Amino acid sequence: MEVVLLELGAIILALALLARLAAHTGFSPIPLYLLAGLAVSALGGVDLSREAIQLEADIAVALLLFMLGLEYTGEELSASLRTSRLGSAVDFLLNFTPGFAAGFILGWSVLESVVLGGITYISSSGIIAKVLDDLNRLGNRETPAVLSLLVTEDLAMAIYLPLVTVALAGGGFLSGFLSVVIAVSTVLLALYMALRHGRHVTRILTHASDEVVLLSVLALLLLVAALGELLQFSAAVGAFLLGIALSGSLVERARTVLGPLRDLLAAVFFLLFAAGVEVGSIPGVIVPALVLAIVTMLTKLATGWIAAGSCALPGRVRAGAALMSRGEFSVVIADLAVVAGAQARLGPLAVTYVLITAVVGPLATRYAGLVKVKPPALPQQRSV
Amino acid sequence: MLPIRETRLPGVGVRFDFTAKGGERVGVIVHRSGRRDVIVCSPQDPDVCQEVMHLDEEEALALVEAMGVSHSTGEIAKLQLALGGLSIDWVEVAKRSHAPGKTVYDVEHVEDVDASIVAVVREGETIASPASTFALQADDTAVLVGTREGVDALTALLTGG
Repeated sequence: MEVVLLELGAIILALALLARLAAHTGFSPIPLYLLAGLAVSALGGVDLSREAIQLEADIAVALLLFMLGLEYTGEELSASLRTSRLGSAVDFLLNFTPGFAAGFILGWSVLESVVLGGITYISSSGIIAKVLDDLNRLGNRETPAVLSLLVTEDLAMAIYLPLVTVALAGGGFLSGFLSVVIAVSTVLLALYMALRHGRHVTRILTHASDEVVLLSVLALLLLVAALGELLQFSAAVGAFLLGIALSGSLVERARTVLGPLRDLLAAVFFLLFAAGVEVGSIPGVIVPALVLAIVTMLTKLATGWIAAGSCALPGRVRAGAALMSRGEFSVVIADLAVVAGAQARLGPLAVTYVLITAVVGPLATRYAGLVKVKPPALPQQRSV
Repeated sequence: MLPIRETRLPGVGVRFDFTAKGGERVGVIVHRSGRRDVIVCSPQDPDVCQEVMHLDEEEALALVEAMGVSHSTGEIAKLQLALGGLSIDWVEVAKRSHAPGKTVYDVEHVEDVDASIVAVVREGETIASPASTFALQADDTAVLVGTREGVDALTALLTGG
């Protein structure tokens, strides 16, 4: 027991130092957590049981998705779906395809290729929203297009994750097909209920005491996640839909009381995921990861370029660069596949890929601001 | 008023902006958390924000108060215009003063004040330059013109202060 406490203390101390470094340099802490995880792996890994790690990951992922769902209101989701249909389709085609194709080239199964496609498709809304805010770009004209794409990507995950979860669970074609049908219809029904009747849930959960809000929201979150797992679609998606369902002042409350818990569990989750990766296998995947990162950062650049079509050239470049970062969702998808016993190279490849894009993406976003066109000459001011 | 555009920023909040007469895009981002960002974009490149000011809820309210007229309306009622030694003010005739029932001439000559009642507003109607025999009533609004001291003295008389 003392060993576990010691390990946990050491891990969280490392996370604290890294978070401090990240806050100081203005970088996303996610790549740092992953690096720390790799370091732990190199030092011999953690002494936690597989079940403990799995439990931590389950709760962390549910919380991550729940908080993501909280960020969006129902109207925003439907508005984004309407206005950025073209951009979203382009986004999916341009960014899912390279990962999927890379899986084939590496000789992986179709399912593993689909997982890799998901990893390259989904940008990190967490990293991107923070970078745009830090760079004072939230008011820029290209920003609504960028944010709308992030929304539709996150929403696409509500369909993608259950499909992949069902497929990873295996089984015959018919039972698999049935599971997929059940999963997708459950998600659509839940989404409809969330948008339509979310306010009732909100009313029941609202209370003056922070403690009551924390415990009741957390309880409902875990129950919904469990229900999601029971019905064979992913627990994470249940949490995401619950987040969307909540509205009004409760959103702010839930964010305040659950935010710190999410930060802690997510940080540990990223670290443990990377700690589960054999460091020796990294050199073997570094070339494919690098190539994939370069290709898919360029395709994201193209995506942003197309989505921000109404802006001038610099704005379109900024939008493209902003979308390059991958982060939490890519790790979540990879974790799902690794736990289900996928390809040994998938974990290392995902970690390396996220590391590259999560570092280069924010840097590219920053330097894209230097792209300028010659300003049109102002009308000559007549001197008085 | 200039037309204000409203743009949703999913996951962040709402952006309101308009194009100022100088050509620059000016706006406010209302964050879900209550934070407000005031943004100003250069006329050369309206896509990008040149100035961004982050305000928390309290600061935003202070800015609104400073820019709006709500704060000043209270002041206008008590406004004294000073035009080269000449003061103009208006005051309500109080019941508790000795003014109700007295004529304009009486009031102006109770003491030797350097001010005159140039108009009276009674129940929404304006009596411009009332005759010296015009009798004041409580709740009339008297418009006073004179020296600063004269207007103050007359105000004291009419309000009973």
